[in-house]
Amino acid sequence: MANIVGGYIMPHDPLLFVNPQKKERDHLLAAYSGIRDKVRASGATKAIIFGADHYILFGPRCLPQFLIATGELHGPIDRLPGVPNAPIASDPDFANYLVNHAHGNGFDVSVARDLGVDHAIGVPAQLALPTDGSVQTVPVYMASGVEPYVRLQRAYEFGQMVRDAVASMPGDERIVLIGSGGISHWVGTGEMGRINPDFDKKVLDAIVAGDPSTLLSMTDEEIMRDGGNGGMEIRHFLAVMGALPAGRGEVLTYEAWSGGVTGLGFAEILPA
Amino acid sequence: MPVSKKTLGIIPDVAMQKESEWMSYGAVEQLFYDVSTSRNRKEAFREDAGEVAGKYTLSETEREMVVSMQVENLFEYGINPMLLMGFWTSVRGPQSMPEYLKRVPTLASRLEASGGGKR
Repeated sequence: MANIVGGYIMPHDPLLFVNPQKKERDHLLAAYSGIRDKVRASGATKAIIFGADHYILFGPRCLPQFLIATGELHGPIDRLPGVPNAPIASDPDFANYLVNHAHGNGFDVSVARDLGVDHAIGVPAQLALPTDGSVQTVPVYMASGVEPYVRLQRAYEFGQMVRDAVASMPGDERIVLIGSGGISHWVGTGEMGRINPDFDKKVLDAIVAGDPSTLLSMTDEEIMRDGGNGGMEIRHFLAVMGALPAGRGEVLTYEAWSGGVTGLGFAEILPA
Repeated sequence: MPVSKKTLGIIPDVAMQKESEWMSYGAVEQLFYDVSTSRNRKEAFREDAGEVAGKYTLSETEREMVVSMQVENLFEYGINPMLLMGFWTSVRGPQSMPEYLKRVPTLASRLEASGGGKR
């Protein structure tokens, strides 16, 4: 039987790679490779990465709430030093299986049959997964960056749906889940550069406790106020938590890094 | 309650407008998206912003905000901040970020305007 062998959350702050202020960052880059080692050790064969489009891939004429890429992948298409825009191993059969399961279980997801992903998917795929293609990726884009936002509850339920899909899947695939996103960050607003460690701690505490209720009880206004518009990306963490109910977490690395604009949290969630 | 343009106070007080004039909000975002993602459109905007704006169905107020890159008013109008920043840096270059950040309003001010920023 296929099963989910672990979940991770990690940021994708472009400034970590551009590093315009030349700040010390090796320990943060090492957090990605540390997760890569864990993924390799878990024997994972597939990864599902939850991320947000940043108004790079999807324009005002078509803004999907949920989108699964079912075909060939490459990226990130937005150039970042040290993160190559390169092919990403994919598995169309597995992706289509998830789409079919979603459609049969209350989620009318959109699909992309060929996709150059942005940094939300590209950073984790290129830096936190084995480079030999042994772990094939399915990207799931959620509307967390552009209105109308996916409801928090739906993000969590999406994770539950993924869990059910994996549980009913034939074969012995070992799947890791990645929630890609910064914690507090303000993007393109007058607060840009502010990081709110209190908000970040609240989110990480919920992940460590394996208790989504704190996050699910937030309103979008609260998130905007305390975590910024970038904080809406906690939806991706909720999806991982929904797929790993009661899975307790561990913070691997956290820093309100002064070289960037984002509370950078790396955490692992183990199945209960 | 989910955040929407209405809850965020995006019904603009930027200028006294007839409601019908604000129906092209999506066209403004489309223009910004095109400039941000298309090298040709970016170069065209740099060369003649008015001509590019003329390709989209914008109200006169919107056209003025776009052509003169009034980020203060565009933010208040409710343009997605990521898109607005992307548009700005595409046209003015990343070295212009300090000016952008000096001019662009805070998200808190937008929330305050909608009553959504109160504890």
